[in-house]
Amino acid sequence: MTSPYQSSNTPADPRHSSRLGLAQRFYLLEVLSGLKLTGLRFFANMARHTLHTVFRVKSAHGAVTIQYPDERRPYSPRLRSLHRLVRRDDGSPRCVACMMCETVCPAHCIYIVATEHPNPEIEKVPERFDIDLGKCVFCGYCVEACPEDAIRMDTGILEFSSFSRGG
Amino acid sequence: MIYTKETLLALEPAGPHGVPTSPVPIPADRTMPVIRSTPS
Repeated sequence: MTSPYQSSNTPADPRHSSRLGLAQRFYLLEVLSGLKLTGLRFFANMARHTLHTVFRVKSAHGAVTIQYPDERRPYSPRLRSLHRLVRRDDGSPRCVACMMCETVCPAHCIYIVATEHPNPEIEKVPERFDIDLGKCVFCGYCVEACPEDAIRMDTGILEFSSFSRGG
Repeated sequence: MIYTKETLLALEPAGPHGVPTSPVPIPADRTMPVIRSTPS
């Protein structure tokens, strides 16, 4: 029994080498047609790049690649990026230290220490709210679990390296 | 790579097309290197 992925290189097979013509046996036409396609793409891209860079034709895109990190693709609004804590109008954190995010986090990367809030209408406020990004799996469960909408993952920050040690 | 409450509170939401508006924060546990001059 032969495998369906195994080629049948038998004389009955039209792809068998004995049934190929002389030019096909040398693969010369195929090599030249491949070089023609590559050359056409090369000179078309070079002409477009010259129009964009030298003659400043803005409608001609300079390169088909994205010049990351100076140029980026538009991100989806649903993208989960680095967390941020939302503030109230007075600047204090909206978080009430209910520990829901710390409890639901599957990576155990959130550490909260609660304390009393000076406003008696607000029960608690986080004294410490640490996220260990080395453990975070960016599942977004903390955002879903938060009853106060105090934590969001909409900063758009994906790279945690920087160009200098000062940020 | 631990981000503290103050760091997370200082971040702003991304702009249009998801471009970040805040600089990449420095984690609290990242230590700056001590550059020592070699004795001549």
